Amino acid sequence: MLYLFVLMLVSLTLRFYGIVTGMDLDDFVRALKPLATSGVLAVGVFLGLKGGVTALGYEIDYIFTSNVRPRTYLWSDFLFQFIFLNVFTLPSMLLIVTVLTYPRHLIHLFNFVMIVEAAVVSSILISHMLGLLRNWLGKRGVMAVGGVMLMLVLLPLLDVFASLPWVSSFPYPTNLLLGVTGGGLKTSAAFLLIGGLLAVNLFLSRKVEYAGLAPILTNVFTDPPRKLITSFKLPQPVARFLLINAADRPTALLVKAHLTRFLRDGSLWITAFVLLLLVYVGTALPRALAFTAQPEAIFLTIVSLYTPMIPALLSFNWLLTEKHNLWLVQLSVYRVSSYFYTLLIAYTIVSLIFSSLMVAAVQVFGGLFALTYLDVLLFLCSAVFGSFLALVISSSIKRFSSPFSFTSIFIVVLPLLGSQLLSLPLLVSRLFEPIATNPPAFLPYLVMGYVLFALALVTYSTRDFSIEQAS
Amino acid sequence: MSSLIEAIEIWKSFGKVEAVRGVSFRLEAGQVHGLLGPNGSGKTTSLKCIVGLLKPDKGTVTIFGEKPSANNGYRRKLGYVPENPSLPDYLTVEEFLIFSARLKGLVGDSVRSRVSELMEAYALHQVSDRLVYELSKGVRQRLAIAASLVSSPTVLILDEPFNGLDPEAQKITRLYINEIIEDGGGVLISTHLLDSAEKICNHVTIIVDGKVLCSSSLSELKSKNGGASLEEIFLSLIRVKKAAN
Repeated sequence: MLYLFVLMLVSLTLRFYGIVTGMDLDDFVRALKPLATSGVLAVGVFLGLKGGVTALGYEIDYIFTSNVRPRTYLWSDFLFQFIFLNVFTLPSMLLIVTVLTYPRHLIHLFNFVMIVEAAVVSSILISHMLGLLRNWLGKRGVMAVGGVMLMLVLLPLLDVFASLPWVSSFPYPTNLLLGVTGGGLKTSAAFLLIGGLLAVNLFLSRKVEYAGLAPILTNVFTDPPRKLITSFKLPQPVARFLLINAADRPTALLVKAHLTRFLRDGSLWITAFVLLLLVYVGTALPRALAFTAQPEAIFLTIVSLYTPMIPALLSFNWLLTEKHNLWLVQLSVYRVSSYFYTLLIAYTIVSLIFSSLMVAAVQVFGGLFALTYLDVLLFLCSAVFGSFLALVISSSIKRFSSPFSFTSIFIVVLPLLGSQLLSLPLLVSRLFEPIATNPPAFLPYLVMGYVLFALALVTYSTRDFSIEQAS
Repeated sequence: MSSLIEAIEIWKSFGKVEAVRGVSFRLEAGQVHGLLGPNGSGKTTSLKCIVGLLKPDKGTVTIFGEKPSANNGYRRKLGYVPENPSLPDYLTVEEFLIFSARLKGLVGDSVRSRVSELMEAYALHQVSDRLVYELSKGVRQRLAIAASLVSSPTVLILDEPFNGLDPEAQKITRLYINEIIEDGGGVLISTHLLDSAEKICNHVTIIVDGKVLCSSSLSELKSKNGGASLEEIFLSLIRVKKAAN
């Protein structure tokens, strides 16, 4: 429900922007259709590259070794993924479309349901196809095919992202699926694509060896990047800096341990991937809607939305891979609060680094603009507030069994909303100061005072963390 | 002289399940104290209450004469290996041992020398650069035991330490246990492997259904039962308990 509530807020904001900039409501839908379709298909390719078939540990041990036919398992997995993807995509899409196009929503809703369903079915078929292809082409072959497919799936967004209408004339999967309700040839082409994928799946599933299928349900979030550990080498100065050694001071030791974990357990790679996707989609929509003051708008989106999301994603992995190691700290000579304080520092460091890279990219590719003192403060506060809230929320969760649990939504969304609330005075000042005819002279002092007070409060609260809070 | 560990009437429930119901026992210097009992009898919960990972609902625990919550000082002198220890998978074997030593308050050269001694003893030097998540179950267990010994503890608490441990590593662990005893410390071992317990322990406490069934020195227990083996004594006590229920 919270997830839908947030989406509704986002939709309302977009609609408000639309009214302000005098946009036709149908333009929203035109931009959303390829975004949604390519997004769902990209999820399919991504899952396919990780193994394509969802399986839990006990299923590997008991079902894969039983006499259940591989094709039976594949079909059951198809149904599971169909329900799973629909639960996540359909209500949210319908809500956005309704909010954006009311009172003409009914016409658009039917269109969207058909397009989303076609995309979901195709996405699962692509995911299974890539999983099954492992038996035929091996892992490297699948990576190559998957890479090409990812390009084919994402290329149509060039039109949305960079206004290149000629892209839409090519028969990319997204473009074909968008024609599902077009009637005549367009509908036939969409069904031909789905039928083709189904036929390929049926052919490939003649040869199903479980050994060739990588189970993904649990390790999609943590395991694949771990495999990078052995091949990925850090630059020497970074590796030397992070090396845990006997002479480290307690704070440095714990911060290094946290940073090493981010690098080695996949947290950083997952975060980078999600952010890349968000920046891509996030910058595509404003362009499609012809927002003015592009670089500043993107900058503010990155700072206020994506920066607090970085520690939220990192804390997600903390729950999955690190929380159960807390006993080591609980039985150490250090206080547990020191552990959490250093975790706050580590989250803030990573948030600032990632956000800086994104802001630098906006400056380079989106157009140069001068950063004001408010920008810098907002930037710093978003990182610290987001980190603090991610810490509070993740350490308060008693049980976290699966990344697909309802709780996971809270872990990501609450730091984001909370950080925006805490940064509200700064955000309001940043938005209205440039357009104010006579901004008060004491504004910088007021803002600075608020920032110092808030940061002191955050630091103080973290130093009071106890075992009970995390157990 | 006060006991190294004293648990008095500790109770712990999880929801409606009473895991520990008034368990009391002492660990004295020179004791290798076996905490024995069938699966689900409350051994692990008792140990977690003792080290301070769980807070007992009722009762008191003192380590070196102080309550665990009083200060952190006792932790340096306490080594603990939980059942199926969860270790930081993202560190290498050597990094983890150094990290453990630092967490126990060791600094400087003493860290290096102790870590290399334990890596040598537990044959971990061959895998010193491997990440913990790459290790087999047995090697992980060796690493967990080595980490618990890194601060040369006065009290060592081991929860099912011999699960997946090869005979060589078991022998090394017994040597380290003897070292602790000779230095005036004590060892508390929870296990259901009665053969191993009989070899190592000089004192046993048997827990069934969260309650202490008996607590005595091993020699006294055996002489009372006509020299029967620990396994025979344990099984007969369980039978009597079941009949009484």
